[in-house]
Amino acid sequence: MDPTASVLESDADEDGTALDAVLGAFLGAVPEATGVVVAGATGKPIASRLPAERIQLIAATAMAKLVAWAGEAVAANLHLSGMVAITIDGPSWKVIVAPTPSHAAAVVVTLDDSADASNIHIALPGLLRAVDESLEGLPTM
Amino acid sequence: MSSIWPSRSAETEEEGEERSRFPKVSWDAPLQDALTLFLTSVPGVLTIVVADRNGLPVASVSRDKPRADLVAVSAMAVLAMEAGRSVARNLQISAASTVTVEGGTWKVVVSPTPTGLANLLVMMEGTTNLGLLKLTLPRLADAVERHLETL
Repeated sequence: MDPTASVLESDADEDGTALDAVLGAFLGAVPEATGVVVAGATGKPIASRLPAERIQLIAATAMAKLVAWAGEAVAANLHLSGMVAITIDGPSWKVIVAPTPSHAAAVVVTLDDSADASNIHIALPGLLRAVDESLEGLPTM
Repeated sequence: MSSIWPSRSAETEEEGEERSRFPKVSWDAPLQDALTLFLTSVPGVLTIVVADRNGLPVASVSRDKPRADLVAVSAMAVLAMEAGRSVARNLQISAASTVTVEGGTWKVVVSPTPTGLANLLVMMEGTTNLGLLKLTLPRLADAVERHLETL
């Protein structure tokens, strides 16, 4: 067994645990959110508190990264700077996609439409910073 | 308030006696009128772009002279809308109706027309009446689709 691989796996597990704890704390503090998932730099899910199958989660986070990228491109082409988040609205739900400050990851938060999104927007910057801190020093995912 | 600049002429051109007897109206005048009415009715709206389903701009109005590359803007807006729909599909929730890109002092709302024939992009800055926007945007989408279907 490659000892380096073993160490990396161990780090990844610890990272996953740390991120899971961050997501759990967020959901505990913001009951309006019904789920949260973190997409890594390549669009793959690296931590999730969403009741979805992994294959659907991978597709959802990949598309969420694309939404974030396209949103930033729309803003840049309109000469608008400082994109904070993107909200996808449906008839009875919302999904908020927000890149972390370092752009190493993006966070996807789901909520019911009846929920007060302002509480999420208040708590989101802290979650994004916490996700970045959890990922610091770890290999890009 | 600054003047409104349509991307294409929606004005009746009057050049000489002949033309004033047979006024030439551009093909998209009703569409431009609908966009201009929306722009002037909803406070905070600065720019509206109509893009076809492939992301090409069809019409636009702006409170100021357009300062953006509308081809790139409309293409990326349609991409954001399609990716947003895909996020919803993969999370097995119902169809997405709008995608809103938010900055500190601005918002860009992208919304498809009822049958998906086109997409509307609405850019807002400063104080915005989002409630009024959400009430009136579906009506504008209906009007845009009706106009496009007549072409």
